[in-house]
Amino acid sequence: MPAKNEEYARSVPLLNMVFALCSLGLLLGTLWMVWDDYYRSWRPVQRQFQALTAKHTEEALRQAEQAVNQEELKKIQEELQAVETRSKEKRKQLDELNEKRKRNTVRVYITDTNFKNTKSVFDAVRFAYEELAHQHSPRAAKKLEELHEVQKKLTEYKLANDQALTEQAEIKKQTEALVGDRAGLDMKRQDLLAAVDRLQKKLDAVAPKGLVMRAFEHVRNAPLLDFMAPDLKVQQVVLDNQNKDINFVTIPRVDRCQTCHLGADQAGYENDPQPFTTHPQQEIYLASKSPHPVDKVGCTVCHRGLDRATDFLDAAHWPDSPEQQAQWVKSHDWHPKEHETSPMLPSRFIESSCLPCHQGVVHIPDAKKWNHGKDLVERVGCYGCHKMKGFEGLRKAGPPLTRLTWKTDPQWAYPWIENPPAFRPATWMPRFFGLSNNSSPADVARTQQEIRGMVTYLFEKTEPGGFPKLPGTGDPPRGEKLVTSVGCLGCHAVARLEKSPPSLRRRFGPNLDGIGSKAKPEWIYAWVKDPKAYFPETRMPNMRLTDREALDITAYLETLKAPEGWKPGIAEADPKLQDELVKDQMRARMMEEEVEAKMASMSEHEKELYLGQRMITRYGCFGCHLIQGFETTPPIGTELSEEGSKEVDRLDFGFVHIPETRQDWITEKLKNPRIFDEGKVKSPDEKLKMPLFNLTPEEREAVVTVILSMVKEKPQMASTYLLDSRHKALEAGRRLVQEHNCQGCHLLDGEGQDIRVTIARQLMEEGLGEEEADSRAVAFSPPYITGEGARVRSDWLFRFLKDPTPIRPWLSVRMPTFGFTDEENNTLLKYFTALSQSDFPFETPPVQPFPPAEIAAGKKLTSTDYFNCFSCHQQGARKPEGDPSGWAPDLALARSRLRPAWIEDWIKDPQKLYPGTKMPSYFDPGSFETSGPDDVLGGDENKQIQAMRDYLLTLGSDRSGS
Amino acid sequence: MKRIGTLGIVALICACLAAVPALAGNVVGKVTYAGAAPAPKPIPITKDKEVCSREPHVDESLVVAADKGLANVVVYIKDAPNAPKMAIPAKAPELDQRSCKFHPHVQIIPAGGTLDILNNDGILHNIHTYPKNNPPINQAQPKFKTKMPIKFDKPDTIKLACDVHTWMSGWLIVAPNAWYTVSGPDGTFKIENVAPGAYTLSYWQETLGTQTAQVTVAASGDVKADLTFPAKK
Repeated sequence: MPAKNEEYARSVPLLNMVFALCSLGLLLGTLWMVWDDYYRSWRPVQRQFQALTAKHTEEALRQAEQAVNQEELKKIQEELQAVETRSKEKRKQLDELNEKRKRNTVRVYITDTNFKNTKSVFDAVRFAYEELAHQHSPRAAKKLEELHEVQKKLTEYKLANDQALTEQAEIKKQTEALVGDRAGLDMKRQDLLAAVDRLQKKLDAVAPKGLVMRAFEHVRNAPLLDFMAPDLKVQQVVLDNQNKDINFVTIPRVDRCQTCHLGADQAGYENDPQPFTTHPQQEIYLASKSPHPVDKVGCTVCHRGLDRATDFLDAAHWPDSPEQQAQWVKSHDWHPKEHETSPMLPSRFIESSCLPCHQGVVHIPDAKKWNHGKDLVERVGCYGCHKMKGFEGLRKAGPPLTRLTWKTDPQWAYPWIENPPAFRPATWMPRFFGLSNNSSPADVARTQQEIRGMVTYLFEKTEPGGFPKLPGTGDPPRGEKLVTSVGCLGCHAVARLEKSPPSLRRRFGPNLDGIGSKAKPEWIYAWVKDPKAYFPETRMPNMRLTDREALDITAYLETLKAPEGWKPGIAEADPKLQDELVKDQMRARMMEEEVEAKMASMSEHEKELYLGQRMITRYGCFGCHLIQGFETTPPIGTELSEEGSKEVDRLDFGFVHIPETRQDWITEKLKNPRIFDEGKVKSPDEKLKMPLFNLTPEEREAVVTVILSMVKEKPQMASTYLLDSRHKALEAGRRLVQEHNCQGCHLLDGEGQDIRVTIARQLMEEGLGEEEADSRAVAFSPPYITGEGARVRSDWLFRFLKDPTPIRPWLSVRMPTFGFTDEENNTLLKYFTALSQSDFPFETPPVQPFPPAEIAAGKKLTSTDYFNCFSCHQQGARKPEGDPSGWAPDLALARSRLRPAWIEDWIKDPQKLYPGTKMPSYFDPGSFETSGPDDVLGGDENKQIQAMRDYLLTLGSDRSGS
Repeated sequence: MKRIGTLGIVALICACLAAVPALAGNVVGKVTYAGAAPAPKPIPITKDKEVCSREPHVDESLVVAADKGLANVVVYIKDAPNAPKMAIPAKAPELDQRSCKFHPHVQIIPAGGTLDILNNDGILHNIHTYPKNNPPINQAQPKFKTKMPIKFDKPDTIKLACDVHTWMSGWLIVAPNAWYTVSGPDGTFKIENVAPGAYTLSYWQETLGTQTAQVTVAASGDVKADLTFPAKK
């Protein structure tokens, strides 16, 4: 202690005060630091989830308790009570028995131990004896004696043990007889209450009861102590296979989404609010047995956003709708996270995340919107102007313009280029003119001259020639009947025939409205007779029309005229304005003097041609059409192969106020491709030029989904969806099926037969009721061919695809000739067999002669006395009675066409293989054993079917003599 | 013993109910067609002529008597939640395909009941139904299957056809309740034992569609309802 009067440089009490305050401040600061580190937004969320789980568990417990069979429980409990009472009453006897049991238990133990010990001695002696015997030792005989000795003992002990065990059972029986079976009753009670017990345990774990347990909960989650075993903690999956590019280095993804989305991979939270909702479609996503288990795929690979974040705003959540945004602003003070290059995808675009792993497939399973978008991209031909990975090597989306004079005239082409939907509202051809950045009177005057130039160029650069005059005149009503019946409507729509908007597959070919105002009759006639003669790459197949039919169809199509108010014709020439435009174009490429000199040397027509050529270059018409002089010109648009990863700041939002995201920009661009020019000062050549496509909002969203799916990041091989050889065969086939629109007519791979609605419509017009028309339309449409690989022989299918011949006499719709190459044919064969999981390529027809008795039985069964097959089926030259529309396929073809196993399945239950077929059921699947005739082949239905199959296989072969 | 006792009591109650004059009236009337009676159109028989031509075949889709009475019209009381169920008869109703023609052309059967489909023609028939509510049937009935019972569970209006003989056409009405009837060849009909009250009477004909009329049924006796279909356009 310093003396009182000692002097100090500073006042001690003051310093004490200062130090005290500092330490207090330090302490508070430390506490604040610890608290701040401890208090994270996810903790209350996890608490909420615990409460929610407790609520669900309590509910489940209540239900389980109610589900318990109370009567039985009561009975068991009463019985147990009775056991208890009796035990008390017969205390003395029970004690005696218990004593006996105890003693006997010891006996059981001793005898069992003796037996086991002796058994090991026995094994050892036996081994020693076998060794000696093997060595032919003289000591072997002695050892054998010893062995017998031990064996005798072993038998004795076994017997003693058995006796003890029998006695034990006897004591148990006596006890049960005395008081009852307590153990058995307990077991029954436990079984009855198993679910209740399990839920009770779970409830105790999630919502501990009692002061001590609750205090323990708090302690183990307390700050600083929570490093041991907290039950509130960050949940994460480390994804070694899913790398993330963070500029110059890649790191594995660590998804912490489940820190808050705790119910995502658990059933039972389907109706709870976010963040606890169960992820939809558990059979596909998150569940451990699904193709996308959460511990391998995680969350951010599909949803994007910041993987390591544990806070709502940090994770870069992105609202799905303005309503959700308003709600989030209220609940989370939501605002776009700054500098986040990959915020979460709104769920309406979520399917854009499938593609990186699902490469090389025509369609992605279950990704309906993406698949729709992909079909649309192919249909509208985005890839014509924009290079897009995965869309390489496709044919140009539009027809060639190299023989334009053969087909139409400038009077039609001018207004068509100016405004395609005015002529044909549902056309895929986009609109370039009269949009938001080129509609002023000055723009219109200029574009009129531009279009004039293009029309002049296109009609000048055309192959000389044309089609000959029509060989006669057709009959429009007959033509209409053909158009609606031979199959045209599988790929084409005609507005005046449609009752509802046609499906995408029925918009595969151009819609035929106005064709009579567009194409010359000679062209239509030549085209429908042989499309490939005019356009070798066309997907339009040959319908094998006769001259008469082609004339009728031509006559009908000629009646489909342009909509009222649409007028053919070309805008007036304006040489002065044209000169200006031509000069403008030249100035960008040459010096002023050269421009003047060149202008002076050119005629009006040459100037027009020059302007046309420049405009075709500017608008990129050659992206979709083959045009002379532009055969090798590269496409004009931005490459879209990595558009889904493009930095948002590289997108020009201009003066347009929309949320600054990729999806909003692309959507806006598709809605109004010129919108980002708004308010800008640009020369005509600098203006945006992407045309406006005729898409509905749903279609736009699907296309945006596809564009967003084209990203830079490549997942590692281990996480991609790999195709085995069967799937490769399937995908190669699906590519061809898609390219030829097979599903427009056929139901294949679970989709298609879009033509059926038109056939049902026809039938209703003929006077059938709706149900009958819908039902009959199945049989009157092109057949289901999903099971074709199991139905027909590959060699037959090969020939059929090359040169189709009618199989089903009742169909007016025709299988066209597609002109497949051998290679394409083989691809299709492999596809069909892979789809049906049947053998490829060939099945040898049975060569062994069938037993004559069986063939006779088969013949008898097909006769008029039994199944009367030939009442409807043809048999080579033998035709059934009545109109061919009531006939069925030629059974003489069965041998060369059908696979024997399929014939059997077909006769057994045709409706199962082909719901809605005209073929009636002979055998009732419900009572198969009794549905055949009793007097053939002993009434054995299976033998009857085999006999018919074998008989059918003898038809049509020369050997059978028929 | 106990079972028989219960049955006896039920039978007794039923008997009493039947004996006491029930509070119910009948709807009787005649359906007529306002348009000109179409001339009977013969159907050409193109198949199995020997069997099928045993009877003359005429188009039965609109059969009008000389006095304009319209046959084969299904008359029923619409929206009748209190209507009794149509009794399922002990012997199942029959649909005969005699001479490649459905007999009768229009038939009413109770829901939940079975229909015996007969084939005594000795050739192949094929019963093909086009239902709205019941599962569709496309069942072959060869010569050896002279009787084929089929159960219809749900109320329905079912078109009947045979793919072997494309001209064959008939209708099956699976009735939800007892207040259903079909008009006779002269167009007359009678719905019996209808509880008193005001009802909407519906009448349906296969080519003319459905019409309605109002009817009030008294506690006893007949109420007359003469119904007309306007001429087909």
